Amino acid sequence: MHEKSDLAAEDVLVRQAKQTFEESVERIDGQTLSKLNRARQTALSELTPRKSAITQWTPLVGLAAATAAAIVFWPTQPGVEDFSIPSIATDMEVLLMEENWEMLENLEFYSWIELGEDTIPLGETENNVS
Amino acid sequence: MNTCVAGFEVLCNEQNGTGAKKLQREAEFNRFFAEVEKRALRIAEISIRDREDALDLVQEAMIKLVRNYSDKPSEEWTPLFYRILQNNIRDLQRRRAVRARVMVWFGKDKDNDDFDPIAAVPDPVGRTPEEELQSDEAMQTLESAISNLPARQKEAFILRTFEGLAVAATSVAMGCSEGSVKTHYSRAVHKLREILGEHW
Repeated sequence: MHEKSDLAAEDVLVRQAKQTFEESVERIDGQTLSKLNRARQTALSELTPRKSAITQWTPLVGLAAATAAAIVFWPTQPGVEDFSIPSIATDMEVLLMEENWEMLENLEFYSWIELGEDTIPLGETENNVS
Repeated sequence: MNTCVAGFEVLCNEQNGTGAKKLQREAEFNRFFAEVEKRALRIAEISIRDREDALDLVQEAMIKLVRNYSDKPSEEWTPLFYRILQNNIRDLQRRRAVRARVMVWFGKDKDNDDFDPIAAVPDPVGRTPEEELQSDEAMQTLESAISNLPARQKEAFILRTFEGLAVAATSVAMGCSEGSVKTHYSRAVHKLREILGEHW
């Protein structure tokens, strides 16, 4: 008998707790409901299949590899390269090392000589061939 | 040529089928979340006593359910969703406990500094102030009593009573046996009756 009344009392408590809870759910304000709606939409957007990391990065990796290959294997132009960059480096070295600053006055002359040295072997080769 | 056209039609039909299936799945999830989200929010709020944190946890649970269990039949979603939510709640409580220890160490209580009682008050929905007050007081009393329960008893009571989950579904949500659910729930009700007996 006592057990039955205990169970009934517990049943009342559970029903009352449920009702109180449901009332508190109904009282949720509009701003919170709006946030819940946004949360739901965010979760639903997860259903759209995303591209895998490999698929996403493949074009960029391919482009980077092609660029690297182009830089490494691009056919160089020895004539232009040999004439410009090393000769400037050599000029600067000579200017810095040489004690005789009068050389600066004859800079055009030295450049002409260097140009001559570069072209002579080509002429000789042509003569040898012929 | 005819083979190509036929192949293209098959491909289109397959794509349309996949698209329709996806839309159907999306509608199912939308219905499911719309049905559980408010109760889930209040359940999380009762456990962690903060609405913004509760919102974050509910959203996180929704996302995890969609990401990990969208291939499961919709009948299994409810216990899985609450299992994720309960795990999220436990994680947050652990993080808070660690933070509280650190704050005590530095002699600062950030939670109390940030609490805004006016912002925490819900909007009334078509009730008289007296009814609001009574209902609020009843809920506050209930929440206070629930907060005195041990964690597992609290989970069992909330899931069984507030969400109305069956014993089997509650055992999935709590990650324990059905026998344990019955024990936790029974003890929780008994204890609540002791606490609330005089008021209810």
